[in-house]
Amino acid sequence: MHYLELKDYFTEQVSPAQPNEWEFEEVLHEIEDLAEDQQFTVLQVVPTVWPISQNLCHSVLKESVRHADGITQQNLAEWLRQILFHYETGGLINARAFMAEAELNSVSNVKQENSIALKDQAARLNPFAKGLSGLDLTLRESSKIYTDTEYIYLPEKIDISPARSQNLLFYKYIIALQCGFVCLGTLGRQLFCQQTAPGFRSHQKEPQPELFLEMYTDQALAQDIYQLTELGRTIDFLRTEYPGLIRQATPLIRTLLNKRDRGTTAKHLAMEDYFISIFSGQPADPTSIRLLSAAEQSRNVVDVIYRQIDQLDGDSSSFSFLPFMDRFNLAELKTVFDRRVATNKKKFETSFGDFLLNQQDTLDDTSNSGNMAESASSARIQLNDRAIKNRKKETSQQLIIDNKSIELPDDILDLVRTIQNDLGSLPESYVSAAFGISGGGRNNAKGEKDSGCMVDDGFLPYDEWDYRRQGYRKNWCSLRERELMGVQSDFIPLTLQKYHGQLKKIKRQFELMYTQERFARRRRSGDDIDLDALIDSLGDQCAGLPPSENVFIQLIRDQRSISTLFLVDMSNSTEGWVGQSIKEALILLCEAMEIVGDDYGIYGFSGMRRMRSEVYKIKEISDRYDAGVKERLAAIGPKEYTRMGPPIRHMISHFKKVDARTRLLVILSDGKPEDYDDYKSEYAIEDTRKALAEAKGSGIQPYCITIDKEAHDYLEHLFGIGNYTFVPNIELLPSRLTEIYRILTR
Amino acid sequence: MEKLYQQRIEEHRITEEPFYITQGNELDIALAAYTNQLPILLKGPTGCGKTRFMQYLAWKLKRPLITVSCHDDLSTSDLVGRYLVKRNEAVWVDGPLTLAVRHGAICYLDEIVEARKDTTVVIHPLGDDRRELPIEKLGEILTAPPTFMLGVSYNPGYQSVVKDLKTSTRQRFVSLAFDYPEKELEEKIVKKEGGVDSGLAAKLVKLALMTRGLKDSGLAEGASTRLLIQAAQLHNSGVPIPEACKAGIIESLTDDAQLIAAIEDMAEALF
Repeated sequence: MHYLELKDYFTEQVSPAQPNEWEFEEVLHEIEDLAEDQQFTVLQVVPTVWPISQNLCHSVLKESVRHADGITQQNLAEWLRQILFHYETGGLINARAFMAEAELNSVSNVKQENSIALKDQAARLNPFAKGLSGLDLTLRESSKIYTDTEYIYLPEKIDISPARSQNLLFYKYIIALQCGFVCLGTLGRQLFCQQTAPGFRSHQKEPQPELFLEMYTDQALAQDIYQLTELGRTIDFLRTEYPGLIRQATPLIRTLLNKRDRGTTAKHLAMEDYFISIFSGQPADPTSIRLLSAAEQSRNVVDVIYRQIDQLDGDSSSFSFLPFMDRFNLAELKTVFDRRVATNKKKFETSFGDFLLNQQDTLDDTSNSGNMAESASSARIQLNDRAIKNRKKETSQQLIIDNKSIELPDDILDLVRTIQNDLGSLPESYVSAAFGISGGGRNNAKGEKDSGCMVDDGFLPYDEWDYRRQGYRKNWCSLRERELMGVQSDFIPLTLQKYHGQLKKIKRQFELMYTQERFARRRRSGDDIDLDALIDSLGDQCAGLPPSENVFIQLIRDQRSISTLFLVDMSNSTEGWVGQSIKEALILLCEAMEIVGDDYGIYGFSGMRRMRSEVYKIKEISDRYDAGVKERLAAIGPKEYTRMGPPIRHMISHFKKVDARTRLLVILSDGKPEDYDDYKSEYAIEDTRKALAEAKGSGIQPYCITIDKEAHDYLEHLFGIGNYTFVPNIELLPSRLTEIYRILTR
Repeated sequence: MEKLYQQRIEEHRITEEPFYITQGNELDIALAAYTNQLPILLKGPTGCGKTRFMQYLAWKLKRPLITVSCHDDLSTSDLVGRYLVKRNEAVWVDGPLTLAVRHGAICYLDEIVEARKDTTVVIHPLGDDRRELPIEKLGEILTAPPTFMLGVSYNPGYQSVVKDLKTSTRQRFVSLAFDYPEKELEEKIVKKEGGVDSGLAAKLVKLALMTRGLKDSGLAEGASTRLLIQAAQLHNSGVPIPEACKAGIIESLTDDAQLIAAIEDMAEALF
């Protein structure tokens, strides 16, 4: 194709977007120099990458031209997948760096027979990790093996053995090791709380997080010894708890240990000896690892062993934990730890403050001073063991003010335990801050004057709930419904192709829902005689009662009376893979809904500030699933913020026009409700909760599907137990969405 | 006829103490409900002990227990009774609900959400302070004696918006929430009912705990205590533990191949 033909083709692919000609002129000229078949191959990049990022599309086209001789249909898809993965995890810079480094033939999708790829086993290994740890740990691909306590990072593939089963076993083994570190507290407080000597217990009210390893001159050596010691504790734990796994893995582990480089320096040799002794179960040191019951004791052992090894010659920098794991990533652990501490501090202060506000009357009666601030100084939270019948003991935490106790609710208790686990104790400043918040909240509850809002044309006014005053802010928000401009692209056919196999299964399942036949008994007319009803009728007649005429069975096919509105979060956080997966999920859902025949509508929502909340019409309930709807689905993209209350109330008004026995509102979200202004935290959650309660009061059943890892913190409060689903891996959303709908409406 | 009824009711009497260990104060509450002639609603996941609790309660109160497994086709006549033609005569035969009311027994409607709502409303007059059962075909209103008790159960984790208990029905009951027992208690139960040693019971319970955290991975419900017991019983009869777990627990939990593989991995890690 010549340049002009290429330009026309390109413009058609990206329509209705209109990029500046000069942005792509150079790369199109480069493509013009390729052979025709190469041109077509390279241009296949556009419909896949353009909807995700225009800048990325430009970069990929340039790289494609560079690799044009090596690109084939077989390796292009795999290469694009890896580029998009790097884009999603690290942005444009990361993706460009990957493209610069990777040679196309290194991402050939000609797989080795024996290797196991993580992505192929994710559906099996993710539940395995969760089951083993009992925590929400998700697996992610990485060039290093470690955990930051939220994710376990694993190699993209494992091929250490000629047997696939052994490679899979090794994945399970290294997952178990990382789970062990998290469960045993290896990577928590003891790493980050202040120490001046081993075994020191901080007497400060608020321990300052510092690495205890910084006490040592050779911190790298100290870290390695700590990791080895904890590895020993973890393996002991696995031997006790999961003997089957250890037994299966032992021959493989022995083989790997035999291949290790023993090192040349005395230090390296000593480290190697310690390492091997851990796996063999023979402690190298009289301070037996088996006696350790807590990471605290590990620190003492670290001190002992450090002194022994530190005085040896040479260095140990060549010592490695591979292939079992990489070194602990202390920087990432600290980031996660700090984030968790900060989040929990804020959560505690807010939720405890709200609790205190609600306990106002009790506290006023209790406190001698009658003053919240003064109550704060005498308040303390203490543990009490409560004996319950049947000899069960339950530990509870109570708030004690002036010797009067008030029991704390479960959600605050869980939070206190998490904070104590991280910091060793609940800092008094947290409690004081909560008292401060509750005192301020009390004043705020008197209410600011509502300024109301001027509603522009096309904007609808909606109230907003202010939990502080326990009342509505009248006409506080304005919302408009907009039509989403459709995009013509290959997104739909590519999605249908990608999920071809799954779609078959989903359609079959939904067909069963539609054609689920039910024999309605005791009918006045029907296809056959209901023998039970006839016998009853004859019996009644014999007894002198008038016989019933309802003695027929009728085959009923269509008994579903369900209308569903799907409300899709289109906030800016859904950029990239998240938005992609949401769109794919909706496409599969639409295909399935067409089979089952339930009425459904799809709307997106976003907006900024209270005066500009926006709902995007993608499919009204009365719309057919036609080309226009498909184009609008393809056009779903990240917008702004997530003010949830107004869109929910808007959906309630939509449902008023719907006449169905069951009315379902399904919200797809990737995070908490939040807007640019003060619509955040407790305020946003309480308004959303109120809107959902209004929906329930109108006979609408709300349900939430989320990918937010922190969902469990607030969704139960918003939607109630059992009325939400957390999908841990965004890539699972397309298949899970249809499954969730099927279960909800069976 | 009276002799026939008496014979029928005696079939439902529980003479041997069923094995049941209380988890909390559920027995005290149920006994208090009985004393006050209040019906009880048991809710909890499948296989956590709801039916066994009712059997134990019936044994403790020395009352017959009549159980009805509810389903979509259950009609009012199935519960209350019907005329049958015997030797050209119409003979009234009490349904299980009427039988229980007449004889002051305990009537237990298991999985009540499965029955149609127009059927379950028949229990409303029994479930409130009237404690009456109208039998229209006999022109009779039966008043339940003090020894009668109504119990119902369902699994709230069913998660279907179409199948739910009407508010007017659920608000007639004293509700007891059941869940899987605490770890130590569950081990005792599996050991006793499954006939296995403590170590194996502990591992089976651990496997169950691992599966119960997989809701977000697509497993609707984790392994119930009942499944653990049946795996234990299989093993007790000579089936190797991996196969006993597969047949008794894993394949009963899900049809998803990847989830089956994941849970098999967990079982292999434990045993």
